[in-house]
Amino acid sequence: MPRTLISIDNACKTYDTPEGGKVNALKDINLNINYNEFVTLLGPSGCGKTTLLKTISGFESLDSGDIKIEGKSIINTPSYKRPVNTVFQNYALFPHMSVKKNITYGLDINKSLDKAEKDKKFNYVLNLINLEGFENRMPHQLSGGQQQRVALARAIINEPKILLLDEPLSALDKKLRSNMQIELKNIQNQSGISFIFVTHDQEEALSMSDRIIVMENGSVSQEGKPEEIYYQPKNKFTADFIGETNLINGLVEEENGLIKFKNENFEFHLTKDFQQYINKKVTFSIRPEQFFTNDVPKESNPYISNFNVEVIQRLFFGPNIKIVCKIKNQIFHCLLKISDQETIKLFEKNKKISIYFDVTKIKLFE
Amino acid sequence: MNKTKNLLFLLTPFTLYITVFFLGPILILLTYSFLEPGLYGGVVWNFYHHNYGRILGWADGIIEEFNPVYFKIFLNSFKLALITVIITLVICYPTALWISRLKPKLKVFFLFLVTLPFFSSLVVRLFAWMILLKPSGLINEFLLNIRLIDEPLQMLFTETAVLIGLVYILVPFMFLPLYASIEKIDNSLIQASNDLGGNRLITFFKITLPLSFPGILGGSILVFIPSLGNFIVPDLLGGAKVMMIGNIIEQSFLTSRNWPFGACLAIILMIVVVTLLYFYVKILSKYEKII
Repeated sequence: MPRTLISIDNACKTYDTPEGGKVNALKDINLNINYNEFVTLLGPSGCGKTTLLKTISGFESLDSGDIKIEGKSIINTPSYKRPVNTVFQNYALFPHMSVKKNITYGLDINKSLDKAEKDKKFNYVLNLINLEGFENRMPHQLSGGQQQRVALARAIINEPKILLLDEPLSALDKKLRSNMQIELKNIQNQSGISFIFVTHDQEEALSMSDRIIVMENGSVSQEGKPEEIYYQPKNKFTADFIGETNLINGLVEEENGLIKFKNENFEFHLTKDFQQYINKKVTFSIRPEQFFTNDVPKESNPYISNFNVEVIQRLFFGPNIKIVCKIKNQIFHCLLKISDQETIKLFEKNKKISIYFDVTKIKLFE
Repeated sequence: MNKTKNLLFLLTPFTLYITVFFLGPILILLTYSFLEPGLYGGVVWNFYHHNYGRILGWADGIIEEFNPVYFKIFLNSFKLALITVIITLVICYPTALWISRLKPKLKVFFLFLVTLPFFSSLVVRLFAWMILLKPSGLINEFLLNIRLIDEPLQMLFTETAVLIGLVYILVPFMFLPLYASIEKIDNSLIQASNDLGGNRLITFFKITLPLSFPGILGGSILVFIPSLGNFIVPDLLGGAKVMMIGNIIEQSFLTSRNWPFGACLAIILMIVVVTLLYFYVKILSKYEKII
């Protein structure tokens, strides 16, 4: 049983808009975060993820509800006394201080350490972020990635219980970002600090997190392991926001004891597992990579269904190919694995092909 | 090539303006400061360095005599200007800090209030101060009425009155650069300091104050230089009691009609000012790189 480090209970927060209205930034949020856990708050901008982070760091207050760290409420503790540290989106390095001064800022204020201990810690984190020899540089003399790492070091040197990261990688280019993702994960493992990571980048969230909390309009839409979130989305929002998916509206009907999904463009049979949706309007979700083109004999898996579609566009990515195709007015995106040049020819524009999928793997949402 | 042409074209009006209205008078001033004063005003075209000697200590003793009083007035002007800088800084810093944290609409309103005095004549405002400060003025009347004092205080024609006047007219010059640099400080830096354990006091001294240094420096220069050369304020509020270097220059030109001596004082004042500006720019450029 994992031990709870921080618990957020019934957290609510509203903002006044400039037009005089009110926005519910947080609607009754309940969350627990465990020791040594890498949790990601994922959602589009305006979903409340940054607000939630700021209420933990103390830059925003809650209208109601409570935040406890190790069982103790912190909502009346000023931010400078909370056992949390933040890595800011724009890094917020102090421009008038050297790398060393920046990193040891928290220790210098704390004054509980003597110089030798301070130096030891400083050298440890400097080694961790791989910036030896840069200690006397000023922030403006560093590249974006280096600044990012200094910001990280400045936070973790204080050994907070929780590290809050507010979209810390969003300003980096793609390659640097994927390097930093690995580094962040390593640092989290080594330091044993719980990370709460805010991002709108779903790939980043999937690759790094122990647990993802998907947020929508100030509420938690779904939480779970990355693979759960990806393959078992509980609602349309999560299915749509995480990864790419085909969302298709239609109706579930029963006909001669068989369950069918039906809309004006096509229909196919569903298994008994979908009984609960009979006579309901639903959206079904299938991921592009869940389609395949070949050769699975229908007898070997009775749940395989197929669509006869027309190719309208194809995009070659190397190991796979993306095909945009349609049945009547319904457009699908499929991501297919390919391994030789000949296969590509099968998917030329305007060709009619069959695409297959496993009915048991699709998701329906009301 | 085209670029240089363009540049030349764009800079011509300003270059002409500077040459005619700034460099010209300064050259005339510089020339006059090295000429012999005429007996009845005007100048005699002889090279003559004793104008400087009269101030700095090597006068010939025939036409001009060394008098340490000018040196003292220089020092006193420095002192008054410095005190003005300190008082305006103390008044403006908290105000600028406070206004910088207001909502945008309120910010504009308060900035307007700060610049409000610019909309009326300086001399009129100083006369108002004379009325306030004089023995039968409002302040004295009030203090007499509430029986805090038995006889009117001598406030007008004192150094204090001059300081009040200088501070009063120069406050906006301290405020604006200060405000500009405080307002520029990224709020996430303040949050970062809080986040790392810095309370308000620590954050102020370690982050806000150092980062607003260019504003402090700029405001100080903008207040110090006009106070140093000011003559209207000491004239009206200091009377015959308080002399600043500006008054001496004014008197040399207008009363004693010793133009070379006045020019010489003005040149010395200018050298001081330019030296200050030189260091100001040097320090500032160091900061510009960082912030």
